[in-house]
Amino acid sequence: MASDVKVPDWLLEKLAAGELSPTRAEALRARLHESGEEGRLAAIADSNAAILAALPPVQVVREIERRAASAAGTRLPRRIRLAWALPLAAACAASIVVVVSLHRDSRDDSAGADEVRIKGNERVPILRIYRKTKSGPELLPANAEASKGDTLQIRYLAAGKRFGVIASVDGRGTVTFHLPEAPGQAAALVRNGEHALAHSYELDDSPKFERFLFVTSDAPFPTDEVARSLREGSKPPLPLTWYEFPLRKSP
Amino acid sequence: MAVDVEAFYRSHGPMVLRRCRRLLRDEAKAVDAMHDVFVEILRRKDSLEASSPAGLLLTTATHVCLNRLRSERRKPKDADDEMLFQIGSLDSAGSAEEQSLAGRVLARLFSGQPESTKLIAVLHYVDRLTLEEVAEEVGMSVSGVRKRLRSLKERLPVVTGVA
Repeated sequence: MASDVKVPDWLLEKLAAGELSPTRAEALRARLHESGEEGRLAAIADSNAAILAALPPVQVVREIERRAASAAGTRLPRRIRLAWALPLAAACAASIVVVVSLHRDSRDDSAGADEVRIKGNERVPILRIYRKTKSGPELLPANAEASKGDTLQIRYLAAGKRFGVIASVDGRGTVTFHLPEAPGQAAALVRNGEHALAHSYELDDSPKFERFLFVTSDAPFPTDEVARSLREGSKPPLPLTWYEFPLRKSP
Repeated sequence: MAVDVEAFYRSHGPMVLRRCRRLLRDEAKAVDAMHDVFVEILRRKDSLEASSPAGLLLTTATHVCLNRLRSERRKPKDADDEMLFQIGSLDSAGSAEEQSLAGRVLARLFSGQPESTKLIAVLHYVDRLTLEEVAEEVGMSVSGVRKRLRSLKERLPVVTGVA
């Protein structure tokens, strides 16, 4: 029976961030299921991608550091700061159209043709990572806690991009290629809808984290660029676009 | 704690922006406030603990937005908005430091002291967390949360017969 009480955004955000205890997280997932609100977690993942595309980290961090430096001395007049924020807000509010259209196939609960759009028709390539559980695939939020032995299914939305590489680096610095499965050239992508990789990925006992990177382009490129970025923690060179998905490893 | 601002923004920035949007109802102001939330994190990085960054950021965003609302002159858009204005206006006769970015409330927050009554009020009256959920979030007993909310009733005209 559906509950009338919507799960508060506050708790949903903490669930998506992987910061609820296992007991509370399980209870909240059950509540989401009961009230038919399971799509809200996927909507958060899509919103994250859209916001990061509209407010790029490099740009935002530059402004944060500028403000922090100003705060250490004299704070800037508020109206100046707001004037700076307006163009970004316009980019975020006026030109972002997040279109989330869920098309679930009743024969296959892994199906889902979601799209995230920014700036009219510009779509954002994203990764979705699911953990295999007894009750079915569990969509993981970025920074979720994962453990040795967890079986992950990686799916991507290419958003029209033609070529891509999905790889990850673990806490020991080992880089694993998921698409293509061996170094070489970027793979041709299925350009529309959500597409699952052919093979699942089982986490080993490497510590601290597993950081996934989905790098895309309209032209072929070598996987070396991606491996280098993962090892060095650097950004893939332009014009490659990338989407990062970190997981925390439980001790 | 060392803070990699870019990594922090990538992992939690969108969540902070959504929180600011929810409370401020204005995209430009929300984007502006989001930046200030991360400035607060940078300023207080020595007091940070890595155990619950999302909770800390959501709390910091709430205080930053309440501070903004205190100086707003617009008409509330609905009952939740009016409640936020009233909560934001509590104890508005503070020092200049209190009226700067979250000021003393944040200093207390970052030093691990109990959450402010304002946050408790926002969680219960605006975010619609139950008393039990609020208690869990702020690390207090349910009776302690209820007591705090009761003390607010006289000062928040919108609150009638809740909690």
